[in-house]
Amino acid sequence: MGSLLQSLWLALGFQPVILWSDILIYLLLGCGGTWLVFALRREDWQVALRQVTANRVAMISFCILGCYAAIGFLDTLHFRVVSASTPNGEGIQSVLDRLSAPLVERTEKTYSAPFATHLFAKETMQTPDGRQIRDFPRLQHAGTHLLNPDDKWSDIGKRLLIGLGWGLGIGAGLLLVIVWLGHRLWFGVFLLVATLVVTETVVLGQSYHIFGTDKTGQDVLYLTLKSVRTGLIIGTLTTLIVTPFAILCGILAGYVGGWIDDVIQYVYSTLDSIPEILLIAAAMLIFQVGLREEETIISADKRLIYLCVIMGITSWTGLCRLIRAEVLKLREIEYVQAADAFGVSRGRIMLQHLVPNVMHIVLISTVLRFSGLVLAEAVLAYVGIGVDPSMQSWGNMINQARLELARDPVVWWNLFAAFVFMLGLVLPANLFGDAVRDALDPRLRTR
Amino acid sequence: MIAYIVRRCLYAIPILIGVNVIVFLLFFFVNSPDDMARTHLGQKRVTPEQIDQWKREHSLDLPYFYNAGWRRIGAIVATKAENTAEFLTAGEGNYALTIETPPGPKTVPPRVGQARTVRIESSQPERLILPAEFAAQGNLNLPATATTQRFAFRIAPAQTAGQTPPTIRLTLTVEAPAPTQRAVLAYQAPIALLSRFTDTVFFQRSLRMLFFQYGKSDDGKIISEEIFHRIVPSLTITLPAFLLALLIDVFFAMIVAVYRGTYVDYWSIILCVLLMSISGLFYIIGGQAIFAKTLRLVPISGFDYGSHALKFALLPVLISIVSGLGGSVRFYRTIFLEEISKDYVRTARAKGLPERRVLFVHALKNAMIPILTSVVVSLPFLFAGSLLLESFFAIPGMGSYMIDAIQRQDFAVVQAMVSLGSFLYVVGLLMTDISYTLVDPRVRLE
Repeated sequence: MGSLLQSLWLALGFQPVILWSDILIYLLLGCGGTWLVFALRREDWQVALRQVTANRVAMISFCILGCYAAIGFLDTLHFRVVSASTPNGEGIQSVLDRLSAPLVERTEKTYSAPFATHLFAKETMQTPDGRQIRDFPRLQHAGTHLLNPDDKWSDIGKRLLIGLGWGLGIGAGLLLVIVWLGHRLWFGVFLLVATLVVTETVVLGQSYHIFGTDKTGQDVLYLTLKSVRTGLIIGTLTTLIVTPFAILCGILAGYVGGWIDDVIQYVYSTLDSIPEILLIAAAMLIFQVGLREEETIISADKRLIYLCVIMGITSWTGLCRLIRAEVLKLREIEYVQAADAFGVSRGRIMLQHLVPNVMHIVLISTVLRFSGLVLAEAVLAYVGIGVDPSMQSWGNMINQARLELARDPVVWWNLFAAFVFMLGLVLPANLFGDAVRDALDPRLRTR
Repeated sequence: MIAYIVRRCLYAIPILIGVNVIVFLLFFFVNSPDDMARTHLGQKRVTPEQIDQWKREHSLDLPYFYNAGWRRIGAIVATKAENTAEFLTAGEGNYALTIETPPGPKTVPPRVGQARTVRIESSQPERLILPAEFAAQGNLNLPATATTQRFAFRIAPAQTAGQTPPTIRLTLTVEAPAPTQRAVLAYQAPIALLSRFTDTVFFQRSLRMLFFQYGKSDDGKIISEEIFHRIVPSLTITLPAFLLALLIDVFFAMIVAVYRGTYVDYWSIILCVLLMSISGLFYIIGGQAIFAKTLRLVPISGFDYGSHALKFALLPVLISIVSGLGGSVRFYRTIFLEEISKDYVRTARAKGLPERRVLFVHALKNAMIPILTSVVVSLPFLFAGSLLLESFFAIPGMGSYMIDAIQRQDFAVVQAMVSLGSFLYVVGLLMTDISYTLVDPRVRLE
């Protein structure tokens, strides 16, 4: 069986690799999808969905989040390239790595500014006539087609126009199809803008470093694209990893009551009293001691999951408290009382009547906490207790860039890229989260 | 009221003890003290003796929860040259011999089938009472496993007082082919009832923190003194930032609420969400770059006491206010809107009062109740300082102390800060409850 698989991978040229975080993502997508199918059969959820879809800001935000999710998903499909010479495969790659191969392969020596043609640091070079001079060398992979670097801006302008042409061509086509299919106009416009961004990036990215390069000469655009997956995982898995536990405890505390309620309340108020960042710091320090050496990407992946679990433990309490309060209300409502009177067992009441009716709180707290978690990742990386330093994340990008702020002129592009992409994720997430909350439970006011 | 406060304080005790236990489990069970010692002394080339010494210095050689009074007399690691040692003991009492793998990276478990024996000899053989595992002449064959084994034995009281000396000389001989394991001899000393519980890792390293006895950090400084010195710089930033932020946030929230339902309101909310969506790191980095580096209005970083503190505190305070603006304005706005929709506001309007007076006198006064009670919880945390700001601006406060401790992996300081932080949080909750009763006579505490 094993050898059969091996020959299959050899024939295909790649072997799929599933990391632990990948499993969690697939699980999350699976559970989310199943739940959505069930939820949308219910009247109240349909009403909420209609309210959210009617909100144009929320829907545009949702589409932007969808783009991020797509990038993150491409980065989740991991594989090893297998060939006859390396039957065990090379290093682990993702589909996103493969798609952005032009960016990955074009590494420079060190920093270079966005759209630069020359390196950021001076080097000693030999002129053709044999003299030694110190100057900024030309980049090896950006603007190489230019005979005279001064023509750069007109070249960029030309390329922008080409990108615009392609983008408008494809985007307008999509727009027409959308309108013809009877969808809303804004969706078509969104697609048009998205296509424009993609085509411009592709056209310019092939011959320039759009966001510059970092200290080791890697393209910053590639780094920030890789960071998307990290941000998304921290934003979603953190809440959802502990959600089953929070639902169980919340419902038990609210419905069964008695000493179980006391114990659960005691546990969550105790956990709540520990300042979040200190608990995370303590836990990460502890786990650092015990981590074994493995292939970097695998151990970094494990650390990411650790981080999610630890952050989840600190965020679990709020959700549990909200669910408990909701269940306290629900258990007095007629249909639960009626079920009780008919002799339906407690377990069945919890599963059939209470769980579906607290799901909206889970959804709300997930979307509302998402942006806070993405921002928290950056702070944790700064403190030195975030994701593994070898893993691309916005926090690590900011942290590395911070050390170079004293340079003159400033190396600003790392920060800029992280800023743009983080804002691009967090702002829509906040706007969408508000809309979801307003649609599902406007009374639930959180800061 | 006083009875309520007392009861609330009593409720806080189990919470604080719970935090203490969680932190203790986290720090001392997930990692054994040996692991911690190795992390600190460096993973490589560390001898068991160094580890033992480190554990003694940090009172980690004690038992975890209950101290029965066992004291180490000595240990022997068998080598080819030397495999016997003599110990002078106090005489009568309970003894224990532990065969264990010494902590350290380079220990080899014994090979299967190796014959290993331990022999105990006494200067007064008639008083030595060995358990059944020991054969005649005090010989013990050890099974060939690496697990820790403990053998208890006794020394009986002297038969005739005065004739023989009460002390006894024990000779320990370990015959093992390789220096793989060590034999530790221990004596059960009489111990006071209280010390049985206080001379433990749990008490010395954890429970004491409930009484603000934090002990020493890894570099030998007394933590509570350090904290005491660092409170002033922290408060220099957090206190003005807190007060000014409250004023400014309420002011803006009020204005937005006045224009509710208009484009001003709509775009203010979008702006607030935008401000919320920017990481605090960017506010700091951006603020430093613009005001300190480019415009050179204030120093980039540093701190000074007294009146000089102003120029150092200006920028951190400003950044702190701006970074919190979005979230607070939005939160206070919803409170105002809730208040404006209440009956007494309608009554005031119906009386013919001008809108400005209704909002800024009647509604503001009532809206301040939920606003104030919601910020009270963060009051104690002003002492804890701001993690990021202090670190970026090199302010020697509590926040930078914590970051330094985390980056130096100073477990003692991190543990102290967790303990202090949870204490501040519990105090904050207590203050919130009390402030409810003070500002709102309808809230009755039972």
